[in-house]
Order: sequence, then structure tokens, then C-alpha cells
Amino acid sequence: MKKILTWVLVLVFTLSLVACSSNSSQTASGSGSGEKVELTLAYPGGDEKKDDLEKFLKKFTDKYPNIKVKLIFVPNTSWADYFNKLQTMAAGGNSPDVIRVAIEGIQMFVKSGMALPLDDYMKSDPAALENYDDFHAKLQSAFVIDNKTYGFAWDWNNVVVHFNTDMLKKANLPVPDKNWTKDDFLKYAQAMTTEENGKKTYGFAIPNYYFGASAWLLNNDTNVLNADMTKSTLDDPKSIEVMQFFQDLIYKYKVAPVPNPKTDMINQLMTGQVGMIAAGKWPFGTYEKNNFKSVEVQFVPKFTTQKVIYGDGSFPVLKSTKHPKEAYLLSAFLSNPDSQRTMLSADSIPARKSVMNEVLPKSPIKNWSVYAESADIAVAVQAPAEYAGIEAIFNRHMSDILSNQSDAATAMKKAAQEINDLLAQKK
Amino acid sequence: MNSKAVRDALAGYLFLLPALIVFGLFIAEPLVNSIILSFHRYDVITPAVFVGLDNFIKFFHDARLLTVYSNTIEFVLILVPLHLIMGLLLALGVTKVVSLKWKYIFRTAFYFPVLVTTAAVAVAWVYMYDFNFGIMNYLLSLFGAAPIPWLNDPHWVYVSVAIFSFWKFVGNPFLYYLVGLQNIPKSLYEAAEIDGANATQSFFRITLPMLTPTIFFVMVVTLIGAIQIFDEPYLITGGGPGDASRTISLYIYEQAFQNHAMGYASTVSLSLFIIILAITIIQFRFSNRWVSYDQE
Repeated sequence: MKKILTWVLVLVFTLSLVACSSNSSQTASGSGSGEKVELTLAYPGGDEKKDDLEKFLKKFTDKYPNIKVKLIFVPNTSWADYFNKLQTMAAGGNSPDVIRVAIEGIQMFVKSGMALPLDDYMKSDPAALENYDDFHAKLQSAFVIDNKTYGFAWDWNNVVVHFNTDMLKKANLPVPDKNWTKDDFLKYAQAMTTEENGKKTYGFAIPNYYFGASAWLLNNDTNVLNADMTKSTLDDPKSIEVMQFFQDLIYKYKVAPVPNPKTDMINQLMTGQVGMIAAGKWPFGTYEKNNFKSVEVQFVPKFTTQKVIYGDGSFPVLKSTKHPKEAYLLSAFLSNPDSQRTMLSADSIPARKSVMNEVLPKSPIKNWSVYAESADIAVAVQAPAEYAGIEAIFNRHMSDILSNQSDAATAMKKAAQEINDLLAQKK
Repeated sequence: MNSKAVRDALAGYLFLLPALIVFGLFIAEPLVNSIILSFHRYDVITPAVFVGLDNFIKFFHDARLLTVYSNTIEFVLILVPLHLIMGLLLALGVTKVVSLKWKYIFRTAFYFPVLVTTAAVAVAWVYMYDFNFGIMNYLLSLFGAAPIPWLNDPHWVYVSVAIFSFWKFVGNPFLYYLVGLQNIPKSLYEAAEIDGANATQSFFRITLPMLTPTIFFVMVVTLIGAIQIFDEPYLITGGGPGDASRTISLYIYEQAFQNHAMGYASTVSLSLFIIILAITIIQFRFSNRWVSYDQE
């Protein structure tokens, strides 16, 4: 017995030593072509996109047989959470070579010196990048910072209003036209708020998240931050008006359910609990999976103006990579037309004009042009390097408003103050 | 020292070694590091910069700290007695059940939620608590009661978290008490019965005193757990509405992993560490006044 114990102990001890040293055996190798190279590609989420990505990466390895790509999926609760995990990986010395990054994170990666400018590689190997002019110029501009290119626009999304058309029919309403106003919107929300045999339905699910709420601020000619993103404008009367309208939709007009941070609005729309939600193209993957076809879209209603928000993504290369040239090849390959066509048709919008025009008309809705028209007029979501902190402040105060713990003016003034402090302190 | 004594001592240390290594790597080293970090500004990416007492000055001027600390105390005051008393009542109830089958069923029912992944069941609870579409408010409506803002009211969120915490974790103290109760020698009860003691008397004179070591253990563990409470508010309320249910652990997480203020997060952690240390020392100091380790 004692002998067995001793052996177990020795085994445990040895294993713990091995575990401590497993990371130290990585060897550096040159980046000359022809040599076998392994790249790591980080992608957010569980492995929902695993099959698509693996299939596509096979084409990459067929073209460049010396480059192997290891895929890692990073589960997360938000963009900010995903970027945090990437930063932690980098700080721990396990930096991926190529990462998927949205506009919400690119400033932070560039300002903290983690992202690699790709211009030199683009010059020396322009052929790797299929037709640069095909990238929608505005969408691509999000990844060109201080005249340096950090990635190639892959996918993008906006925020529009999604309707459950069964509920519209029941309320005898058509899909509104694109010039509809805040007042029209309220009438729609009221018409779809019903109670029948104890079953309640509501007009609208409030977008209680940064990207969604920003889209509504834009239509009242305001935003979370000022134009050069140095100060918050949440305490602006126009911003307060929108937030107060959200609160009133719940507590005054009683046409919206009380959201909580985990509310699944896509599900609420599909099950007919709410008639309208604010979202981009992303719910369409879920709609398709659930065979939900009673849906149509329209621009966010006009308050004082009508704009539309956008956020887009690309595949930047991290400076810490040992194989920058190969990483550039992967980044470029991932944004080629084939990639956008095969991986982005359902739940996102391709950022290449050619692919956008080809894919969007195939959308399972009549109003697909709402997406197509958006690109030219869209305004980028505001995401300075301090995005993660700003989002957290915004969410916290918005939850106070939507839970009726505070009126919009009080909460938004506090939020603006905190955001200003955060922006000042990082300078 | 003879060779046997040396061998025995060596064996003893060898047995301790794995625990010491784990302790050193995952507790002692991070602790020392966070003390050092609390004097730095560190955003994970760029190298840490020494800032002297800046973080401590910020600590004493941080208005949100007062909120999150008092939220934490509120959780402690609700959750510790809840688990301490309800765990005991459930355990006492189950030992009184005569049928073996039912005993088995109750034990499983009370302990089972402990085995389920917290994050997964929390999702279901959030649905149940939903103000407009949740089953809780639906059930209330059957009795004509007004809907409760489970997740949207600064006071009700504590009730919601307490109900969830009770359902999910009461199995732990329950199990400790069950074992504690089984360790009380039957002969004591028999002797008491012969001397004419009634059930209340034997509970207060035998069960409770003999159970004090278990009660003490459960108290220390649930108290530390409650002070560090993270999962329940993170998963159920997200700390909201506003800061209403944000605890000190959630706040540390926010500072460290959302604001990248690792230095300041370390300073706040240090304050939590000192508080827990102090409370634990006090608990042990006073324990000899009421905890009895007599087994005769």
C-alpha cells in the first residue's frame, strides 16, 4: 500500500513538473518561404463556424502547402470580452498570429502597438490581395489608421428594424416605408401590443446594447461621443431624449418588455413575444436554423434625421508573429471574394462590393436593399481605444434607465461624466 | 536522528510537496505579485509602470467602492444565515425520514443542483425570472398577484439571487450537516431518553453542541464564499440594474478585465484579502468559546 502511494506521489510530482515546462519548448524559425510554418488564427465564439472555416482554410493550404493554420475559437460574451481574452493570451506569451477583429477593437490593438501595419507586404506581394478596390471604401477605411493598413474589410453589419410579419398582418399593418418616423414607430408598437387569453405580446424589444442603442442615437443626430471621440455626448439633450423614449416605451406606453442583460431578442421576435427588434443582418443565421420566414426589415425610424450605423470586421496580423509574411498571406486570403461568398451569406454582409451585390439579392426578404443601400450612407460605430470601458459604463447606466431606477437625464449625465473621466485618465 | 526517523520525515514532506507546489504556484505567488502590482499601473500589454501610492489614493476616493462593498455585505447577511440554517433544517429533516427510499430521494434532490453547471442552469433561471415572459410571474398571476421585477429592482435582485443560490448550493451545507449528524453517537440519545429528556432538550443539549464543529466549518466556508460571491450576480443579474447587485468580486473583474487596470484591481483585491483574513482570524479566535470538539 505504502509503495503504491509513493509511486502515485512520484507520478503526480513529475506530472506537475512537466505541466510547468510544456510551454518552453517552442522554437523560433525563420519566415523564408518554402519552410514549414504554422500560423494560429483566433476566431470569436464556440465552434459554430468551425466547418465553414476549416473547409475554407483547406483552400489556403492547397495554395500555400508550406503554411499550416491552427484554428482557435475564443468563447466570449461580447466583443470587449473577446478582445480582453486575446490580450490576456498575448500577455501570457500565447499570441495568435492572425485574429478576427471588429471595428470595436481595432483602435485598441493599433494604439497599444499590438497590430502589424501590412503596407510593406501589400507592396511586395500585391497579387496575394485580390482587387483591393473591390473593398467598399468606407468599410475598408475603418482598418486604415494614420495612413497605415491593418486589415482588409471582411464582413459588416448595421442596425435596422426587424418585423415579425405575422404580427404585422394581425395588426393590419404593412411593412412601413423607409421614411417612417418616431411617431409612426410608436403607432406600430402600440398596434402590436396585445393581450389575448393571458398571452401578452409587445411591440418592440429595446436594444439594450451599445451598437443597437447607438443606431437610435444617430437618428436623433447625436451619438455616444463627439466627432473626434474625446468627450461623451450622452448628456446632450438629444441623447437623453432617445434614452427617455426607450424608458417611456416600457413604462409609459407599455409597448416594450423590460429587458435584462441576457434577454434573447431574436428568440422573442421568432416566438412572437415582440413584433419588432433592432438588429443587423446577424439574426438571419438563427432565423434560417429555426425555419423562421415571417420576417421583414426597414431602416430605424426617423427622429430628426435618418442615418444608419455600421460595424465591420477584418483579420489583422499581430506584431508578435514570427511569420509576418505568411500571416499577411493568410489575412489577405481570408478576405478574398470566395471567403466572403462562402462564409458570410447567411448572417453577415460581405464587405466587397462585388460579393455584396451578388449575395444580398438572395436574402430571404423583400427589403434586402435596406442592407445594400446602407453601406454608402452608414456611420461607423464609435470605438476608440477605450471601447471596452466605455461600453461597460454605457450598459450599466442604460440598465438603470430600462429598469426604471433613474430617469434618462440623470443616468446619462452620470454616464457622460464617467466616460469623460475614463478618456481623460488614459491620456 | 536514526535513519527511520529521517525516512519518515522525508516521506512526510514528500506527501506535502504536491499541495505545497500547488499552493505556491496558484496562491502564494499570485498573492505576492498582486501586492507588487498594486503599486503599478499595468494594462497587460505595455510594461507595468511604478506609480507609488496612486492606486491607494484612488481606492479611498472611489465612490463606487462603497456601493459594491455594501452590496457584498448585504449578500453576506442574506446568504450566510440562509445556508447555515436551511442546510441544517434540511439535514435534520432527512435524518428523521424513516423510509430508506424517501431518504435516498430527498438526499439526491437536495444535493443534485450542486452537480449541475452553474452557468448552464443560470440561463434557465434568468428566463424564469423574466418580468414579462418568465414562469415565476406567470405563476404569481395565477394567484392574482402583481408581477415582481425579479431582475430589474435593486431590492428584488437580492431575493432572486438568494433563491437561486439556495436552490443551487444548499446541497453543500446540507451534506456537511448530514455527515456531522451521523457522527453523533446514538448512545448519547439513548442515555438522554432514559433520563427522560424530550426531543427539544436532546436537540439543544446533544445535537447542537455535538454539531458545533460542523456548524463552524460551514460558517467559515459559506462566509468566505459569500464575501467572494461572483457567479450568481454575474450570471443572473450582470451586477445590475446599474450597480445594484455588483459585488466586490464583480468590481475587481470589471477593473481588471474590462478597464485593463490590473494595478488598481490588485489594490482592491488586496483590501478584500485583508478583510477575509481578518474575519477568518476573528472566527477562529472566538470559535473556542462555542465550538466543542468533544466526542464523548
